[in-house]
Amino acid sequence: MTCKQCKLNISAMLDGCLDQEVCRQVEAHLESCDACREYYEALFAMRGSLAGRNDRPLPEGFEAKLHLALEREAAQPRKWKFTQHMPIMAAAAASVLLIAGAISFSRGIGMKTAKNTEGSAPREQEFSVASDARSAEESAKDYAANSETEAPMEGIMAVPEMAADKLAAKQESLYVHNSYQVGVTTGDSEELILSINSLSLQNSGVINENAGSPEGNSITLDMPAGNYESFIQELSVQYALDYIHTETQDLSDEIYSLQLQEIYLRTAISDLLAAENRTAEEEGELEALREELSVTTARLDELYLLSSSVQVRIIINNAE
Amino acid sequence: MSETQKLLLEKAQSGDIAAFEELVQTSQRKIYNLCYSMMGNAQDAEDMAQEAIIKSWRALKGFRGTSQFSTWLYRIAVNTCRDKLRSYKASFVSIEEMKDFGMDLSSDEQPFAERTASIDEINEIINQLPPDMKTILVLRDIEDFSYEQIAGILKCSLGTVRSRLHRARNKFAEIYKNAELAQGAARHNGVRRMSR
Repeated sequence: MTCKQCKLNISAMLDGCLDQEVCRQVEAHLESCDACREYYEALFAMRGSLAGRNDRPLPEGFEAKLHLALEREAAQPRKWKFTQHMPIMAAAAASVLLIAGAISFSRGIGMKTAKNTEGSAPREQEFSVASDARSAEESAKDYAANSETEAPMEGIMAVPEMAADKLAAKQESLYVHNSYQVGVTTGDSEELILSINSLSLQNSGVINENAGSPEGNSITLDMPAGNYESFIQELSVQYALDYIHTETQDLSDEIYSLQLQEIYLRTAISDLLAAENRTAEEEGELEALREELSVTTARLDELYLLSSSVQVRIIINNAE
Repeated sequence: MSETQKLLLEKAQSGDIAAFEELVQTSQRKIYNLCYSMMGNAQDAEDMAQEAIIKSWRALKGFRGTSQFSTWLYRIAVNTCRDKLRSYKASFVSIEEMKDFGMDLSSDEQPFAERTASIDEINEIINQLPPDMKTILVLRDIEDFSYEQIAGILKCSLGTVRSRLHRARNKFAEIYKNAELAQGAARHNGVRRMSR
């Protein structure tokens, strides 16, 4: 019997799964090998010393503390449920400001054009008054009252700047895209992938192209930002997480400038649409503005989506 | 899982705290002991046991019954302790060092007042093991879980349990041997080890 075999057998002996014949061979080896005897003594000392040390009573008040903690948990709304809606809330808040800015600006333009286009309804007004809580009639009264006292607008910059101030104040750090790198050590990466598939489906996550394959020992998932917390919580229940690295990309500047651009474009389009007789040059400009608006809103939608989602890359370290 | 347990589980999954408490009652002492063996002291053990049970309450809806409920609870407890141990950044402090800093280790050990120097030494060695080795050693050699139970708790194969256990025991024996040699050398030089 070699020393390696002997040590393996000692381990099996500790676990009570070694037959008598092999036991005798181990004993014979131990008599002639100091290193294996030391190994044997070390493990048996451990077993002997620690035997019966797994029956400590629960600390006093353990159950009462647990009960209180459970009641607190049950009373609290789950955090992820709340945060799940945060990006939407943020987007909604920004939209309100955006609309408010557009409304206040379009009122100026709209009123001006109302004088010029008596009786003929503007063709593109959906963003101007429709979202206002008050009726168009009330708004028109307001304008009539204000137009007497307010100086005519010099250009389209004034109101967007006001909106810009509001947006800047409200929007700070609202739009970010987080990427997480999570290290998991496991002896069974296939099972981990299955678990992640199941967790991510529950979390409406989208597994990227390397889903279900341990290529590069990693899996990349995209999921709503609000689901990240519950995903990690569920994952950590199943596996010990080695580390979580976070990378945050701030999208606020780009979103903010695109929102302003959207306001400028919409108001410029509205202005042109309100004109009675447009020249060919103005028609061309209108077309270009519409095109630019469509590109701007598409990019904004993309950024809103990005800011409301997170990317999670799980790095699988093999425990074997 | 018995019918009673299934019923309790259903109730607990729909938010019934009393049902959940009844469900974990048979396992909580084992969870506490497991946490004690992993963390090495009563305070951390209690904190980790509470945290593990709370985590399982939060995750209860995700329990699909593919393993025993108790195995699932032990897995959560083990992972909670391993995370905590990792957060210590592997800076394990030996019992000797703790005593050097004046920490009284006997204060939380009342049920085991008869502990001997030998147990101190064994604990010290176990605390020096990396978290993964410590986990498997604690599960098998202290908490006396079967290979099958350990495979369920750690979500790995029986072969992996055997190989990890063997590696952990090898490491333990290596440290034990070095400690014995160091102790022998200290005695030889007339240096008395503290509290031994």
